[in-house]
Amino acid sequence: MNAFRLARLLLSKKLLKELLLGVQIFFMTVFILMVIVPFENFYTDYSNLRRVFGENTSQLVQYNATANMQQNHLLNNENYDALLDEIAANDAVQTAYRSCEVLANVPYASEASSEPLKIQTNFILDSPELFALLQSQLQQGEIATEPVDNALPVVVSPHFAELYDIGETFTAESVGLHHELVSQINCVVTGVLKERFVHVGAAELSFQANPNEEALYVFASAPSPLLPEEIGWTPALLLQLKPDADALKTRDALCEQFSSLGTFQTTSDFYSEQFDHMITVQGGAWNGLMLFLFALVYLFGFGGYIVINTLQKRKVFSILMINGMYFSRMLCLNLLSSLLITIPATVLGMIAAPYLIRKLAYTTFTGITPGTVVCILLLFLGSVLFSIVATVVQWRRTSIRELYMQGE
Amino acid sequence: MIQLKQIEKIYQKAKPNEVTALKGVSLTIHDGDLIAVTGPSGSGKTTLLHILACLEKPDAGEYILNGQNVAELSERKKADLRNSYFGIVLQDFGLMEEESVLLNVCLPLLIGKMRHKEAKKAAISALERMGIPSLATKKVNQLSGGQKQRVAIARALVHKPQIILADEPTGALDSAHTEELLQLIRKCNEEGITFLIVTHNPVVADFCTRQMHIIDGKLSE
Repeated sequence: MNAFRLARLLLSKKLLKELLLGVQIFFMTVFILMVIVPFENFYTDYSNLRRVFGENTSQLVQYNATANMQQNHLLNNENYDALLDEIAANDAVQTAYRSCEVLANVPYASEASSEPLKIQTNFILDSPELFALLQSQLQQGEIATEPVDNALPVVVSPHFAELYDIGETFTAESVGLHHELVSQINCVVTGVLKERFVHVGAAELSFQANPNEEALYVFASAPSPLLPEEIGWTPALLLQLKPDADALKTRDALCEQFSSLGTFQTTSDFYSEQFDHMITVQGGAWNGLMLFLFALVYLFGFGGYIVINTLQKRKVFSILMINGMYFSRMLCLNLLSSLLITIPATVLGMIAAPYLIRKLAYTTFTGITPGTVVCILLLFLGSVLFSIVATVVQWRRTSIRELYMQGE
Repeated sequence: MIQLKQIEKIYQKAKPNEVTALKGVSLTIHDGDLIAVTGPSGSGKTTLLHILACLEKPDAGEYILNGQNVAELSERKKADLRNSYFGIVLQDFGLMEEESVLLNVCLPLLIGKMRHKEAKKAAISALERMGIPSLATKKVNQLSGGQKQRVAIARALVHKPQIILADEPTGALDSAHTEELLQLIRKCNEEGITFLIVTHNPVVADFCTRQMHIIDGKLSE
C-alpha cells in the first residue's frame, strides 16, 4: 500500500488533467476495439485454416462454380461428379473435399402466430472429413453421419438450437436464386456448436461465428450424390495437393482445363482477394489509418503525460531520492502512477465498448478477443517502454543534487 | 565513524567556469560528535554535506563510512543509507509543498516500507518532539518558514538515524525557536545521535562541541 501512497505523489494535483487523460484512454480503448474487428476476423480465419492444415495450407486450391453455371443450373449432379472424377485423376491432387452451401427456410412455431413462421438459415454440407472437424467445436451432443429415420443428422449453431434442440426434427426448404422452393430435406439435430465456433470448409475456407450476428447455421455431412438436380446449391471444392506439387502451376492447369466450369484459386489468391475486399469494401484501409492514428495519439497521449509529468515532478522525484528512494523503485512508482489512470480507463473502455459500438452502429462488436487484448497490451507496452526510456534518459543526465536544484 | 580523506569536488570540470568546491578536505567524525561547520557563502559547506549524505560523489579522495569505502557502494546501498542511517535537513527544507505535514514526515518510513499505521504514529511522535503536532494535517504550503524548518527537522528525526546532516537548520527560526531546537539537538545527541550542522549562526556554532571552518573549499578545525 505504501507503493500506492508514494505513486500518488507523482500524479498531478489537478484532477481535471488526470480525468481528461483517463477519458482519452477510455475512448482510445473503445475505438481500438471498434476498428480492429475486420483485421482480426481476417487473421482469425486464416489462422483457423493453418490450425487444420498446418504447413499444407499453401498446398490448398479452392474451386467455386461460376455464377453463370449456377444461374443456368449447368453444374448438376452429373457435371459435378464428372468434375470430381477428372480433378481426382490429376496427379497433383491428393484429396478433394466437397462442400456446398444453400440458403434454406426453416419453419418454426411462434406464439405470435397460429401459422408456422419461416426463418432463413445457412445450410452447409461438407465432405465427411471437413464435417468431422466440427467435433472440437461442439458444445453438446455429437456428430453423426448415418441418417436417422430418413432424416439427415445435423449440428446447429446455438441460436438455431433455440428453435430446434438436440433430438428434434425439422424440414429445411432450400430456395433458389429467385426465392423459389427447390428442394426439401428432413433433418434431425444431433449436436449444438459453441457460441463462437470455427468452421473450416471450402466456400469460405474458414470462418469464426460471431455470436452477436445471431445468424443461424446448420451443418451436415455431404451425402452422395451431393446435389439434387436443379436446385440452388452453391458448390465448392477444396483440393489438397500433394506436398511436392506446385500449387501455382496446378491452379493454372485446372483453370485451363475447367475454364467453363468455374474458378480455381490457391489459398494465397483467396486470402489476397479477401484482404483486398476487407481493405476496399469493409473500409479496412480507413480502419487501418484510424488504428494507426489512435495508436499514435494513445502512445503520445500517455507517453507525453509521463514525460511532462516526470519533468514537472522532478522536485518530488529528488525529495524521494534524498529520503532513500532508489532508481529502480522510483521507476516502478512512476509507472504505477500512470497505471492508476490507465488501468481503470482501459478496463472501463473495454466494458463500455460493446454498448458504445452497438450504439454507434459502426460495426458489429465481436467481444474482447485475443487480438484486441494483444493490440491494447501492445499499445500499453509501447507507452510503458516510452516512459521508461524517457525516465531513464532524464535520470541519467542529472544527479540527485542537480535534480533538486532544478526542481519546481 | 566517518572518515573523509583528501576529498576534492570540482563543478563544471574542464570548462571556463570551473569551480573547485572542496580542496583536500579531511575529516573524522566520531559517533556522538556534535559538529558545526561554518564559513562564508560559496565556501563549500553544502557540498561537503551533500558528499557526506551520499548525494554527490567526490572527484578525488576517499570517504570511509564505518570502515567501508563509500565509492564501492551501489546506488541502492547509498539510498538505503540515506533512508535509515542519515537524517538530512536541507537548506530549503526539501518538503513537498502540496502534501500534508504528516505525509512529508512519514516519507522516509514509507520509503523504508514501514506499515502506514506505524509510520503515522512515529511521525506524530516526531512532530510532538518538535512541538508542532497540531500542524500534522496542514499542507506544507500553508506553513511559515519557521514551521517548515521544524517539519524538515521532524522528518530527519523520524526514522531515528545515526547521523543527522543539517544544512542551516535554524536559518528560518527566531531566537526562541532556535533555543528550543538546540535543546532538542542536545537531547538527541545525548541519546547517541551524531550531528553535523552547517550554519552561519554563531549561537549554533558555539553550542556544538566541535567547530570547523571552511574557506574556499579548505576545511580547518
